[in-house]
Order: sequence, then C-alpha cells, then structure tokens
Amino acid sequence: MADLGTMSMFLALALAVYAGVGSVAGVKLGSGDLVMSARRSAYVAGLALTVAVGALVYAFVTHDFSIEYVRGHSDRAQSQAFTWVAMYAGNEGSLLYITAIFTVMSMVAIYVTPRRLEPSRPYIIAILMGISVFFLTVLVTLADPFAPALFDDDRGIGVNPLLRHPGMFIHPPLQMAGLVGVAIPFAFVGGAMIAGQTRDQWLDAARVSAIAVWATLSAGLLIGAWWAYTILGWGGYWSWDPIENVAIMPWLVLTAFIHSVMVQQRRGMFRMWNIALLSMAFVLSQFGLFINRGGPVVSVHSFGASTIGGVFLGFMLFSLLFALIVFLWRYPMLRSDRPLESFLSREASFLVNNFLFLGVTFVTLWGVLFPLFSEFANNETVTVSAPWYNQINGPILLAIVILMGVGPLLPWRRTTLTSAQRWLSIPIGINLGTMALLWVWGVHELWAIVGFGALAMVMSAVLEEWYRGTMAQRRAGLNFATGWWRMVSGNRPRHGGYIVHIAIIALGIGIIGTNFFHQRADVVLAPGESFSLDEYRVEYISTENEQRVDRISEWANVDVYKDNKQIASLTPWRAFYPVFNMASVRASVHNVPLVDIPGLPSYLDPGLEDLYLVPSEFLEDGRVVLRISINPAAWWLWVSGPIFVIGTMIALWPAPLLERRTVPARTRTSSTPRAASSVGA
Amino acid sequence: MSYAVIIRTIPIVALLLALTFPLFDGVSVRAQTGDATGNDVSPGFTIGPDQDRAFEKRAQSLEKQLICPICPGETLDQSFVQISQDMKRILREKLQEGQNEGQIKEFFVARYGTSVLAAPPRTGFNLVTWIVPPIGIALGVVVLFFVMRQMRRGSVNPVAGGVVAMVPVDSVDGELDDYLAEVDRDLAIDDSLDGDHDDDQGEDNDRSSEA
Repeated sequence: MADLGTMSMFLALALAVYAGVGSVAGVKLGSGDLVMSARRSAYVAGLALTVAVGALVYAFVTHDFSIEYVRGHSDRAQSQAFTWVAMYAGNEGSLLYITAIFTVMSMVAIYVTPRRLEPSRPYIIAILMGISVFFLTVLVTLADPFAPALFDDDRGIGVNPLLRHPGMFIHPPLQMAGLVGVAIPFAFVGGAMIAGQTRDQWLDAARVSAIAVWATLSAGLLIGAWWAYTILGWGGYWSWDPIENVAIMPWLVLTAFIHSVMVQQRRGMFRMWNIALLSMAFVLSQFGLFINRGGPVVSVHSFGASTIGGVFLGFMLFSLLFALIVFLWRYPMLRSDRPLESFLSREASFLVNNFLFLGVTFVTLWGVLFPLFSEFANNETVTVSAPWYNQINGPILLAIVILMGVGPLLPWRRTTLTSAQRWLSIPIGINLGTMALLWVWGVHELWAIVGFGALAMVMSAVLEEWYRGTMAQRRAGLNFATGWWRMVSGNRPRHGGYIVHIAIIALGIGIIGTNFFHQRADVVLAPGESFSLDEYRVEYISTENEQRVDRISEWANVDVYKDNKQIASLTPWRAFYPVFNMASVRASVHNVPLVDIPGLPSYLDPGLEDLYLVPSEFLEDGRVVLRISINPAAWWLWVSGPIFVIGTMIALWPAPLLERRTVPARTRTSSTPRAASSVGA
Repeated sequence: MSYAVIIRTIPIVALLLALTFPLFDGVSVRAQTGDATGNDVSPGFTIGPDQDRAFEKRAQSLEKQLICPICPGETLDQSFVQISQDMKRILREKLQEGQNEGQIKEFFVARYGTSVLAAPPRTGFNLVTWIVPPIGIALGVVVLFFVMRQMRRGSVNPVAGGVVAMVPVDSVDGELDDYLAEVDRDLAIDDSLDGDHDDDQGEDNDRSSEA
C-alpha cells in the first residue's frame, strides 16, 4: 500500500506539473491539442490523489504499522470506525487530504468552467495546478505520509484522545476543504485577469464557487464549535485561539465578497474591490495554513512539532506577490460602469458592510500577530486572548448586525429620506421596542439588550421584505405559501441570503445568551450529595467505570431536578489514556426546552438553556469534581447550522432545474416585475 | 429632519461605540446581577470556600482574565490541570483577604510574567494593542467617507483602454436614467437567465419613483 500511495503521489505531481505548464504553453503555441491534454491530465492528477488517499485509508483500516504515520496515529484498540478517518489526524496525512481534496475540487471547477470563460480556462488550470504542485512537493519531500516505520511495532500509538469524537468525521474534512477551497474563486478571477477577460466574465463562476466554499467553511466552523463544546470540557465553543482566528479570517473576507459581488452583478460597480477581496481571502487562507503547520504562535489546535511552517510562509508571500502583480497589471481595465448615486442606497450599505467585515478581519489579524510583534520589538511575551477580542471585535460585530437590519431595506441606486423613513421605521421601531421590553422584563445587561434589539431588527427587516413580496404575489391571485415560494424562486440568491440572515439571528441569540447569562460552579460531591445552581439541583448518585486496553473510562450517574421535579438523568464521562498521559471528557448536556412540544426529543425542542455537566476529575474516595454550567440559549447556536445550509442551497440551486418545476419562465419574468411594481403604487 | 440624522448616523454611532469600548474594562465578562436566588447551602463546594454568589462571580471573572502558564492559550476557567486549580484557589484566597483584581493580577504577573494575563495590560508598549484597532477603524471611516464621496461624483480618472466612461450623476435626468436601464437590460444577457435583473428593475423604479 505504501508503494501504491507513494507512486500515486509522484504520478499526481508529474501530471500536475504537466497540466500547469502544458495549458499555458498550449495557448502560447496555439496548440489546442496540448491545452486539451493538459486539462485531461489535471483530471487524472485528481484521480491519482484519490488513489493515494485510498491507499492511506486502507493502510489505517488494515493496521499496516509498517508505515510510520499509521503507527503514530492509530492502534489496534481504538474503535474500527475511527480508523477510517484517522488519516487526517496528523500533519502528513492531513496534508495529503488537503492536497487531494483541493485537486478534486479543482477538477470539478475546471470541468464546470462556464463557456464564456473558455479563453481563461488554461490560466485557471495553471493557477490551480500551481497550488497543487506546491502541496505535492511539500508532501513528497518534507512530509511523506507513506514513510516506513521507525520501529518494529505491532500495537501502534493511537490517535489523540481529543480526536475520538463524532465531530472527527465531519469537522476536519469540511474545515480543511473550505480553507484550501478559497483558492478556487481566486483562480477563476486570476485566470480571467491574465487572459484579459476583465469584463465580468468571471463573475458567475467566482460567485457560485465562493458561496459554495463559504458554506463549507461555515459548516466546518460551526461543527468545530459544537465539538469543542462537548469535548473540551469548559463549556465554551469559541475562544479566539490563533488557529480559530486564522480559520475565521478567510470566512469573514468571503462574507464581504458574497455581499459586494451582488453590486457588481447588478450595477457593474466595485470590480477592483471584489478582485481585491478574493485575493485577500486567498492570501489569508495561505496564512492560515502557515500558522497551522508549525507557525510561531501557540495554540491548542496546532499540529504538534511540525517544522514545515517556513515553506508555507514562503508560499503565502509568493501568493501575495502573485495576486498583487496580476491586480496591478489589469488595474486600468477595471473601472466601474457607474458612479455611486447616493449614500442612502443598497450599494452604499454594502460598502459599509465590507468595511465592517474587513475591520473584524484586521482586528483579528492584529490580535494574532501582536504577540510576535511584542516579542520582537519589546522583548516581552504577552497573550492576546478572548477578553481582548471580545472587547474590540464585539462592537464591530454589533455594528454588522445593526447594518443587517437596515441594509436589505434600502433600494438600489438611491432613495429619498421620506421613502427611507417609510421602509425603515418598522425595523427601528421593533429594535427600540425589543430593548424596552427586555428592560421591563428585568434584563439589565446593557450590551445584551442592545444585541437582542439589533437581532430583532434583522428579523423584522427580513419579514418586512417577505411580507411585501408575498403580498404582491397575492394580488396576482396566489395564496400565502405559493406566493412566498414564487417570490423566493423569483430571486433565489437574495431570498436564500435572507434565510442565512435568519441563521445569523439564531447564532446571535446563542452567542449573546451564552456570553452574558452563563452561570457555573465547580464543586466536589460525594455520592448522595447534591448542589443547587439557580433553579436546578444536581444530585450525584454513583460512579461506574470500565477498563479497556487503551483507556480507563469513568462516568458519573447524576440526577437533575428543577423545582423538585426530576428532569433528567445524566452521565458525564471521562476517560484516561495512559499512552498519551491524557484525559478526555465528554460533557453531558440536557437541553431545557423553552416550549415543550410533546412527542419531540428534547434536543429538538426550542431551547431555553443547556444544563451542562462535565466531570473534571474522579477522586479515589468516590467523590467527583463536577463542573455544572447553565448555558442559556446554547441550543440556538446549533440550530443555526441547518438554517444556514437551507439558505445556501436555495441561493445556489441550479436555476433551470428549480424554475422548471415551479413556474414557466415566460410567465414569471413577465408577471413578477409588474407584481413587484404594484407594491408601491 | 431628525430622522435623516438617525439614518445617516447609525453606522457612525455604532463605530463610535466601538471606539469607546476599550474604556469599559471587562464589560463583556461582568457578572450578571439580579439573579441572587436564595440557594440552600449545599455540601462539598471546593474551589473557593465561599458560597456567596457575587464573590464566586468575581472569582470566575478573574479566572477568565488569567492564562494557565503551562497550557497553550487556555484561560484558567478552561483548564483543569493541577497548576490552574492551584491558581484558582489562590485567587479566591486573595479575594477573600480583600485584595482587588489589580493586585491579584499583579501577583500572578510577578510570578509568571505578563503572558499570564489573557489580554495585554493597558500600559506602556502594550497600550499599542488596544489603540491600533480603534485608530485604524477611525481612519477607515474617514477613508470610506472620501471614497464614497468620490464614487458619488463619478470617477475623476481618465478613461483607459476603451472602457465605458462613468457618467456624473448630476447630468443624468430621470428619463435618461430609464433609458440607460433599458440598455443595461438589453446588454445583460446573463442576468436575464435568472430573472434577477428584471425583477429588481421593477422594484427600483417603483421605489425611486415614490420620492
């Protein structure tokens, strides 16, 4: 298997080099055959890497400990399911995964490149394959996952205990795919620039691929947060750790891009700006790889002692230079078609949106880099951690949410104040009303009130838009449900976006709830003793344990009472892994419902708060050290995930497919505008 | 008129809030008040000998501002290793003795260095951490304002390479506007595929005609 894997990697490297060089050479020499063969070898490179991944997975599943990487990251004792995914548990294997997924994504991107981008396609292939070649070179020279074992060993070391969690099946693949995938929209735009297709021919391809990559990143981040929540044992899900930061920065820039690209699509403005955003996202994703692979910053998540950071730093600087040169070269051809007509327009609100998202990005980057800067310039080690980010980024994020409640209601081009007043009075009224109501209800946490008010405003903006759109359809004789659906399918990117806004509201509720109203206690309980926190009483009954080859698991049986009524029996769990001298906990979480819907499992009921239990230690005399947390609104964090996915799918679903099913195209295009214009009449 | 002011200033007010934020030290971790329910005294409370809720909140707020010295980047409240359990106990003892947050932080800084603080102190060189983001954002607002103003006036740069020139707003009256929209629609072959363009054009006209 090792031989097959190594051969596939070398084959992929050769093919990728040929594809990259050949497609450009083919254009220069005017040889269509060469371009075609280059493109096909890019496809084969993707296949070869798939084979290499398959070989590594096979080696893991069959416990082939003659490969050092397999020996170091698995053992015979671990459950069989995890051997299927152990290949990306360490530096070398995850790099192979990244290379393979990137090349396969490139394969798809090259295959589906729109016809109008045909002149750019060879250059797009060259950029994508250039990146693949870099990854492959690192793989075969510095981080060979198929290197032979250093010792004769039939047991294996095993995988890091923190990675033995269901999240392992989803979070790392999505997160890594999302991060490297940022290069794909960049390649579209970069290729188009090189080929001189500067009149927006790249727009659809870049927009669709950016949204797809953005959604992948969103899902990866959210699942990672959930993983951290259940396994790290402190009850949080995001700690502004450097690795988390470098993962969120490309996401933030892409978020800015998928908003401002709409302005380009509609109004032919912001061309340079959008290209700059994609370049920034791409360079930041390379920065993420650098920090992740043995960068100079301490983090809980980094890949141990990996020494290949410098190579990634070099590649990042090269990417930056490349993007800059291409950009400056084509700069004169990228003027806007139209001027900005008014500060009070959707275009202007998108500009402010972009400014705020970049603000969060640069604050975050500054926070990641300052410790290095301080050590270098001031010779003092400092930590920049959650309290700093919360204070600096918190208000900017709040401003973004406020803008979300206003921007969607501003019309394109320009509006007058009187008309803006009409559209905006409802959301602003709802914002103030929500804040007043919360104050009356006894919530006196200032920033939480402001945040909830802003979220209410976002919701009302979406509902106002939908109400107006649906009413217009109703005048055409449709009922509410079909009217709503007709409106959504009439402009799916926009309404999918609104559904994503709703997901952000859910996320915001969760973030504000858990940050401002969190309660906790760390207690030691003997069997039979109980502890009360707020309305809950937690009674520790007993401990059970189980010895396995690789670990000693212990769990506590705990009963939870609310108002003297038992609401749950929980078993928070902890395992000690002697080989790693490391323990791993699994929190036991009970979602206390806000509304109890009969027949639904408790985790599906709209959540009021989580009662969260984690055993930090089992003492020898039978007592347990227990962390009891009440995490208000934590349920909303996770429910935002499915809403995100639905919204993105609606926005991205291939147009003809959906439209054929709903409304014949001709009726739609003729009826919709008229219906819409009757709104204001 | 006051309404106009509100609409124009919403983003600016939000940003000003951002600028003042470093003044509110620890506001994001300040304990929630008004929930002091009468808890019955339960047995077995370890970390911190006091049952008092307000006291515990202060202690927990401090835990979030201190880093465990041996675990990379984890605050005390995230970490369960021996040294951070000891530090949690010490900080509670000191709070009990009546020391304030500043004194307790100083104590740990003297022992483990500045990096034990989860956020750099607002003094000396480290003040730079706190000042750069607000200044950067303030400068950004200024730049954004001028960029938008320039975009509004139409591009002042000479047109290069046969690209469509920007039309200054003032010279365009309503009729010409509609005509240009018509031309746009005809040119935007791709937009007509998803129906986006037409749909919105209708809305645009409608909203701007309301004025």
